Parts: sequence; C-alpha cells; structure tokens
Amino acid sequence: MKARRVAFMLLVLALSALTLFVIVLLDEAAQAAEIASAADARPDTLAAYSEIVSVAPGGDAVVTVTAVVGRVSSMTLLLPWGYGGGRGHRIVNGPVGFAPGADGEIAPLVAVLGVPHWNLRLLPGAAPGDTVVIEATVPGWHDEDAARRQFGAQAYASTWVNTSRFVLRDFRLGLELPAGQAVDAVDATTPSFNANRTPQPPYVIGRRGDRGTFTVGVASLPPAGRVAFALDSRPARRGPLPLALGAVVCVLYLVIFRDVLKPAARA
Amino acid sequence: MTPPVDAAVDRAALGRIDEILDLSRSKLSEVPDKLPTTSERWMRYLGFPAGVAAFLVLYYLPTPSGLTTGGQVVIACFAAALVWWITEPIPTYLTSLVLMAMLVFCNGWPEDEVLGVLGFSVIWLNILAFILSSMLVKTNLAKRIALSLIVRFGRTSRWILLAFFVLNLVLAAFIPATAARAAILLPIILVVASIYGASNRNPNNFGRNLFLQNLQGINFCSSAYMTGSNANLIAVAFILSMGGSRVYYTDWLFAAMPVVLAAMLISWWLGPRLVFRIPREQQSPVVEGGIERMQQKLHEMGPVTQGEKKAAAVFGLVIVLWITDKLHMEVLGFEISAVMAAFIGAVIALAPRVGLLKWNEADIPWHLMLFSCGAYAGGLALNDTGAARWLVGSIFAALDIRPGVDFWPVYCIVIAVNMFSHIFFTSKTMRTLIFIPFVIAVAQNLGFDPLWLALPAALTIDWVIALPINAKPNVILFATGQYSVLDNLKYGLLMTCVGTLLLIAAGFTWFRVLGVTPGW
Repeated sequence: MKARRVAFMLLVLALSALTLFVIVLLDEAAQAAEIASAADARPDTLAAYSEIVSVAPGGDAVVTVTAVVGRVSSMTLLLPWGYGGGRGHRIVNGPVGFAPGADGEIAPLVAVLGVPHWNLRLLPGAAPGDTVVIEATVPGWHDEDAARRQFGAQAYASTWVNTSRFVLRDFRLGLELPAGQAVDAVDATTPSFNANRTPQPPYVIGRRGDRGTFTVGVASLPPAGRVAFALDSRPARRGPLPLALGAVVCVLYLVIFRDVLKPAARA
Repeated sequence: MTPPVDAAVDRAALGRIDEILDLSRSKLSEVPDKLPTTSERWMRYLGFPAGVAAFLVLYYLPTPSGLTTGGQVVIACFAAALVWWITEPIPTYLTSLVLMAMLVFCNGWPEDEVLGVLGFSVIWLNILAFILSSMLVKTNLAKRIALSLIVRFGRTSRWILLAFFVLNLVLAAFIPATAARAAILLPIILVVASIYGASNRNPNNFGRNLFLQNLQGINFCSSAYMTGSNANLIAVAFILSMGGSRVYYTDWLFAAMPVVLAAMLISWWLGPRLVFRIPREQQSPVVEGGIERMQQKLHEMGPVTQGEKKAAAVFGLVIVLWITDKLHMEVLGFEISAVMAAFIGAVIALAPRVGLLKWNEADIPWHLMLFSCGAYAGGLALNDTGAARWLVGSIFAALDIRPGVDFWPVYCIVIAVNMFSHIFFTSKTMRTLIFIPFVIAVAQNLGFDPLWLALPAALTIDWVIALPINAKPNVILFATGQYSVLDNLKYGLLMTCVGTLLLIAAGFTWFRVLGVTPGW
C-alpha cells in the first residue's frame, strides 16, 4: 500500500515535470516565431527620397525624383506620381527600368487604386545605396492667372502623399521658382512649424542662380504620410516706386521742416 | 482777527503741496510739447532722411539666401522705424502708424495681422493698468502711499531711488508679470516725481533717474528669479529638453541674484552722478519745509477714507490674483490670466455706484497704445516672416565659431550678442525662442556642456532696457512723458554694457564656483 502511494506520487511529479518542460518548449518556439514574423514585417525603405518641382515661366514644371535604394523585399518600385499624366517620363540615372503594365506593354506610369505611380523595376545587381533619378514634365502645373495675389505675388502650393509601400527616410519636397522669382512668404507647411516645440523650421529657403528655392522635409515619411507647403513668390527685383517716393518725401521733409533747426522750435 | 503770519505761510506751503500732488494737471493722455536741445534738433532734422535711407538700402539689397523677400521688407521697415523712434523727427506714435502702413503697403505682413495687434492682450493690459492707476490717483491712495514712502525714505533723492530698487526686487519675487509690476508702481512713481518737481510738462533729471531706474529695476529684477518672467521658464525648458541639464529655482537664484544686486547698485550710483546728474535743488523735495511739511500733509490727510479703502480692496484683489496665478487651477478649477485679473479690477472700478471712477476720469494715453501697436506689429512681423531667426542665424554664422576654440572667447561673445540683441526685439519670449536654441546648438557643436553657455545667456533675457519698444513696462513708463527715447537709450546702453561686463566677470568667478561655467 505504502509502495503504491510512493509510486503514485512519483508519477504525479514526473507528469508535472513533463508538463512544465512542454510549456517551456512551446513558449520558446512561440517567441522564436514572433521574432521571425517581426523581422519579416520590417517595412521596405528608401534611404533618401526627394522630389523637386522646377517651374518654368508660363507654368510648365519639370519634376525630378531622386531616390536612394534602401531595404527592399521586391524588385518592383511603385513610386507616387501626384501630377496626373505628364509627359516625357524618363530615367535619368540608376539601376532601374520601366516595368510592363497590365497589358504587358512597358509603361512608365501605372494606376494603383486609381492613383498614378511610377512603374519601375530594379535591375539585377541593384543594391542598397544605389541612387535612382527619374524625371518628367508637367505642362501647365502652375496657373499664373489663378495664382495671382496682391502686389504681384504668385501663390504656389503642393501636397505630396506617400502612396507607396516604402518608408521614405530623409524625405524632401522642393520647389524651384521661375527665373527672377524669390520666395516672398511661407503661408503653411506640413509638418507645421512651432517655435515652442522645434527650434528650427522644417523648411529651407534658398537660391539657385536667379531662382528662389524652397524645400520642406521630414526625417522619415511612412506610407500614407503627407508633406505639403503653401507659399507666395514675387519678383526678386524691386520696382522703382519706393525709391522715387522716398526721395520725394525726404526732399519735402528737409524743405518744409527746416525750421526744426531753429532754437525756438517745439516738437 | 488776522491769522498769525506762520499759519498763513503754512497754509500757503500746504497749498503748494496740493498743487504739486495734483496729477490731473499733467494728464498722461495729453502729449506735451518739449523744447529740444541743439543736438536733438539736428537729430530730428536728419533722422527722417536717415530712416528713409535705411529703408531704401535694406529694401533694394539682393535678398540673401534663407530670407524671404517679405522678411527683407519687414527688416527694412523696422530699421526705418527704429531710426525714427530714436531720433524722433515725427512723434513716436506716428512712427508706429507709419510702420504699420509700410508693413501693409510693402507687402511685409498681412493687413489683418497688422490691425489685429490692437486687440492683443498686451495692449489690453496697458489700458487696464492705466484705469487702475487712475483709480489710485483719484482716491488719493497713490498720494498717501507716495507720501509715506517719501517721509520714510525720501530725505534725499538717493535714498528714495534706492527704496524703489528694493521694492522692485521684492515685487519681482511674487509677481512674474512685469507690466503688472509697472502698473502697481506707476501712480506712486508719478507722485514721488511730482514731489521732486518732475512732471511731463517740466521733466527734470531726478524724474529721468526715477523713471529709468524703475524701468531697469522692473526688468532686470525679473532675471533674479527663475519665475521672474515667462521667458525665463521657457529658457529653462530649452536647457532641459535640448541641453539635458535641469536648472532648479535655487540654481538660477544663486547664479543671478549677485549679478542683479551688483547691477542695481551700479545703476543707482551711476545714474544721478554720470548719466543724468541731479542738481542740488532736485536732491530733496521741492516743497518748502521739506520732509516736515510732507509729514504734516500726510497727517492732514487724516485716516484712510472710504474711497481709499475701496481702491485698496480692488487693487489688492487684482494683486492677489496676479500673485496666486499658479494656484487658480487648483482652487478655482480655471486660470485667471494677468490681463483678466486687471479686467476684473477695472470693471469693479468703473461700475456705477459700486465703483470709484467715471470713464472721463480714466487717464488712458491712447497715443501710447498706438505706439505699442506699431512696436509689436514690427516685432511680430520680424518673427512671423522668419526674419528675426535669419538675423540671429546670420550673426552666429558670421562669427564662424568652429570646434577647438577656447571656451572663454565664445562665452564673452555669446553674452555680448545676447545682451545687446534686445535692442532689436520687442518681446522677451520671442528672443528666448530664437536665441537659446542657437546658443545650445553652438555649445553642442563646440563640445561644451550646453549649460555653460545657455544659463548665462538665459540670464540676459530680462535685460530689456534700452528702448521703450523693448518691453511692456518700458512702454507704460514712457507714457509719462518724463524722458525721451534718447534718454532711455543713453542710460539703457550704459547699463547694458555694465550688465555684459558683470555677467562676463561672474562667468570667470562666481559661476565657476557654482559649476555654471567650467571650473578651475
């Protein structure tokens, strides 16, 4: 009887140890599976991405996209193209080619959920760090009549939405104004600028020759992320009216108020 | 029966005191004519074309990289206005109106924004401060407080000036809003100035010292305490978030207080001896019989009247609301800002039957409000267009400070640039938001502990003493018409130099002991 009881207790202990062993094994397997799936879920990235809209007098624009290849899980590069049709789509540089569209023909643009995208395919041998430059022309991108503001200013605005599968590191959206134009005022940007939160604005105002430039950027733009700007430009060269007015007012003041120098003059 | 001769003389003297203390004779809302000196006349004559020339040069320069054309226009407009405010070819309020018009017509800042400045809380605070001040003057409470102060400390001009410095230091510990402190002190300063013979019709050197030392006291006493102004707290937040160093109340107090005390004493000593020499006849009250007569007058005022009690209650309520601002949320469930606290006081003061003041008795200098509007519009336009940020960035870029440079030259440059930059700014907060991150970035680039440069730079924030446009209390005191923009600039620049030297000296010595700058 006593031996049977001991045997039963030993059996219970052995079963408990076995159960624990199985639980630990299963847990480790689950963790390993979780890590593996997390690794697989890492998003595709482009190490840098910039889109520069270079506006010519009359409103036509050349859009240049520069992308640096990062971590990609497929050879297909569908990059956002937010300008409708456009023309002259071409690859300037980089290990990419246009991919076939739905009809099997090579097509520079393809619609994804109704939104046009650059239809690119990485060529064999493409590696992280390679730079891709693509370009197209957008006729009538800027309507000068509709964009006219007070004092001869022109309003420019652009919104860029990341409809690709990539996380875009070091993203830049830029504008090159027509020759002779300069940035007059920055009306709004996304991301917005708040001096209390960030000491520096997310945009840079510059010049390239006689063209004003504007670039807004973010360190990382996830899929569905948005960058935008609205600004005014005006001719960099000033008109002669203030000079003439200033000279006339000065002369008038010096003549009319010459009695200010007399000792008895009151303020 | 004819009264004794002595009694007649007494009555005449007391009548003269009444005349002196009657502030209704020189209203702040009236702009008195002043007789300019020869140099002032030339400055006025040449100041106008100089302002136009400054505008045209800056307007027609090629727009530098990093600056918008709108920002360039604002810099040009502000430069012209700055020249005109200093040289006064046209009245200061008119310069402000011209500046606002120029901002709109040159497309520097939108019309709605320019016109909207008149509704800013700072303008409201000014208006309400003058209503409360008028209440204290009308009920004679200001006269009673001033006479008590004079009787106690006013035997000589030096002691009364020192008393005001001490008063400012005490008030700054409790009331963070500088405009509120100016509002409290204004009626008392006006009465004291009158007793020493200074008025807006007849300004004298005692008055210049009194008003400008109070302007300095109100401003740089704020830098003695971390809670002395909102800008100080913003600077501390930047030092923590960007520099990684936490600055405690006592860290700030121990570092700043000796500098402020030294600055106060130097200003108190220098002002009446070097900047505006006080002649012997202005060194004591102009009233015949001196302090004894004042004492007699105070005695004659009798016990505190019902009106004075009411005024004290209304003003006391406002002061309590100002002092307890941090407790409002906890106790009341909502916050009462400095402006709304003054609003409550003004509403009670103007209420029929209950209140103490009729609208016609409120002495509000509207020309000052227009002057303030122009100054704020210019300052805000500089900020909104990014021009102020670009200017500061350009200064640091031009200095070309590179890694490997010794700490101390950088320290001296940072202190001097921060200190003198206030001349071109109309808001401490704006200056803090722009300068402190730059200073921290410079320190990080050069491999210094950000605290070494950022905290001493933060101690310069409240030194806004060179021009009436630099801060709210400056505008309020300028409304009294007892000193010119040039007077303010002269004394302010001298004390800015003194402050720079003091902070540099403290950096080499006291701050090292505290660990604020690198040790020996």
